[in-house]
Amino acid sequence: MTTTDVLAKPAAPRPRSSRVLDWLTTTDHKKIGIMYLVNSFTFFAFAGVLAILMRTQLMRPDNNVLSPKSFNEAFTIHGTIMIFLVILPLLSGFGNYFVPLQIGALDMAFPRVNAASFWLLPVGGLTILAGYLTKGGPAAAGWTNYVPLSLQGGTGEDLWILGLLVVGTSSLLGAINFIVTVLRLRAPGMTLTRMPIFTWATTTTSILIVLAVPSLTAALLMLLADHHLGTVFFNPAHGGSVANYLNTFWFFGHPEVYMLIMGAWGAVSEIVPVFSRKPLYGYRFVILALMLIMALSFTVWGHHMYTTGLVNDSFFSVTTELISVPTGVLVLCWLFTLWKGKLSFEPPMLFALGFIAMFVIGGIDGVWMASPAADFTIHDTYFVVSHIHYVLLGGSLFGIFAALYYWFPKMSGRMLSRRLGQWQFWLLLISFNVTFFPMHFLGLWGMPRRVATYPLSSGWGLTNFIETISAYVIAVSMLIGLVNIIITLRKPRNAPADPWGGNTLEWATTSPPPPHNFDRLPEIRSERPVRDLRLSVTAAARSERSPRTAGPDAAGPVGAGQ
Amino acid sequence: MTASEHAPGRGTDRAELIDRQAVRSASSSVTGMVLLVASEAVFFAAFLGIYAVSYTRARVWPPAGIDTPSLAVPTVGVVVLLVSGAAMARAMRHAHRREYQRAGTLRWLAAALVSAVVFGVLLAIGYADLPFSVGQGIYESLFYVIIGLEFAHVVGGAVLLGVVLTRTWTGELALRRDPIQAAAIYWYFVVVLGVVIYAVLYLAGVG
Repeated sequence: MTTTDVLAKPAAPRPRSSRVLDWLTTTDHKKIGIMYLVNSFTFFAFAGVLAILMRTQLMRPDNNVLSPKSFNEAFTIHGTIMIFLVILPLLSGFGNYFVPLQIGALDMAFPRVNAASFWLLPVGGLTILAGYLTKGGPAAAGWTNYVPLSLQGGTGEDLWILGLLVVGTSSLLGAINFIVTVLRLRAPGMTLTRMPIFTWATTTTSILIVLAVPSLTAALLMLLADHHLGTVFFNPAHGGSVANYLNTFWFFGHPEVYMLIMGAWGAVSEIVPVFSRKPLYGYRFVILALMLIMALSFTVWGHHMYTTGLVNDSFFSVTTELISVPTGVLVLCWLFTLWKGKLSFEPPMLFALGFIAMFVIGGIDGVWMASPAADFTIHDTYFVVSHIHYVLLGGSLFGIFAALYYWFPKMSGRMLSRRLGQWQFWLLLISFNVTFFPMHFLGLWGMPRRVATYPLSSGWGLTNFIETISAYVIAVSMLIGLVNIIITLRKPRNAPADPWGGNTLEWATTSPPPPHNFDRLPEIRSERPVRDLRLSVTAAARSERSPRTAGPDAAGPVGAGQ
Repeated sequence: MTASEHAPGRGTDRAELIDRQAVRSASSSVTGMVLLVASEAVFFAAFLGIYAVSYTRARVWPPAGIDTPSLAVPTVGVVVLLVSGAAMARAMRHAHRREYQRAGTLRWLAAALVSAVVFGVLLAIGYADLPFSVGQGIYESLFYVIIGLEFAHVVGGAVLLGVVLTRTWTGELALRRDPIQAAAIYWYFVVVLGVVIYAVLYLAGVG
């Protein structure tokens, strides 16, 4: 059966209840991927509301929109949700949908485990949020949940620990599934050095998860044991040490930072070449850089502990600065890809370019903080808040939006509105910078992070006021994105198989792909099989028309959208 | 309509892809188990790392004035565990012979399972007899939690061995070797873990 037949003869519409049951029981990686995205964007909305509440509280000095206790809960839950239930699962959602497609597989290696890893996520997330229903409120010790503060928490704290154990299990199962899929199910011809960079990035992320998440699990179990079983892991009075928590948590925590960004690097490495009409510069260097960063990220956890006096600051400073080398290689590869390219500024490209710019700012902050001398001044100030938002919002989330605009046609069969996409991008870019750039100054002026309010005499009022207004604009830009998705989903399915002139195999099937992914795979002879195919189709068509002018075309958008 | 339908040259059609997926996914569970074991190793390394740090910071180890656990039961236990690992290796050899030997596989799997259960019981006996309480200090906390987690892994391993034993018995595994191989990888991990914990906590730590 050809693809056109599939499109021409849709299955008879079935009752709604059966369609719902289909989604609830599916093991199709594409449906699971979409459920990942829907689930994470729902949690994203919740975490966004908390962020807006926090900014409203900080809008004026001595404000009391939120009590100090609610403020502590808000930043704890905001951070936890954004890190564990939004950014990482969003990247896993794209991974779920596109890794099997990109390597020419029919599904993930363990489809049922895949469904399980998805369903654990809402369970874990709601467990954490269930803290709001308890008497003492949810966890309020920050997403890092430092002891001894976290040991004073009540039921909400326990729910936080249990929820994270569930979420960690979900990530671990998902990661094992990705690695096995990539190792075992690549299509004929899809060697490791022809694999798309997004798939590579998902693989390195998964390796990080397999080797780092168990350390978090250990830290959480020790917390639970100290809280309820009377152990003394973190109690210095009995030979335990707070450092036991710091070390186990950050041994996970720093690789975690790379888990949150590698997928976005991967997506950007797909998008930049497509919209520059050039191959990715230094494809193999990008893979090498990913692997180096993956390995180095296990050697830098101590840079979160400079000021504790418990670690060898010089050692961790050197390893941390070292990571900036492969990271710089990535940035240079993207820039060289852009260089002399035929750029087109579709929304995915806008977000990808925004990503590169914001990520470079966040990265440079990071290099400063890696210097212990500087870190003693800016540790625990708004400088750090600024840094993390430059890498996670300006970085990961811009990358995620780039991926969303890029792959939405493939997932839904419909093109998102270009105009709304541009509005969302420019509003977000401006408001993001107005909100978070001045936080560098607040940090240098001494405003500590995680404070519920500040006195009028501090002089931080105006900056905070501007940041809060700008944060509202960020919310508006997110609403524009939501409106764009809702409007687009009501339109008919008319997206072509390959709207952008893509390089990788997901563009060789229909939009959206049939349940079995591919009717036929093209031959894979390079890391850009779909471009090879497009060129050979064009060349064949030309030689039919006029044999004399036959020959491969330049890397133009030929055959795009057919 | 997609470009690949007009493609000149050789691609891969759907039937070929389905065959390939079936063949290649046969060994997926083994690869998956290797990864799971890698993450389990990191999990225990966290506790053993804290053990090492606490050891280097303490002036006296085990802490002065506490009763240390006896070596007798754990020593018998570790021998039983090694026997179990060896039985698992024999079972694997029978399963992997060119002519599948169901009876031999079954026998050695049963031996591995029985010795696994015996080890679990010995571990529990040693646990119940520990001469100190969990909250006295970091040494005691580590002792209880590490042995407790080891016990949980022995139970998990025994369940896994039970599953492959049942499936071998019903003849389900006559044509598939990967489940038994995956179970074996997990069980070898538990055996190595048992030996490491015995060496660190009992041989070196009881003093």
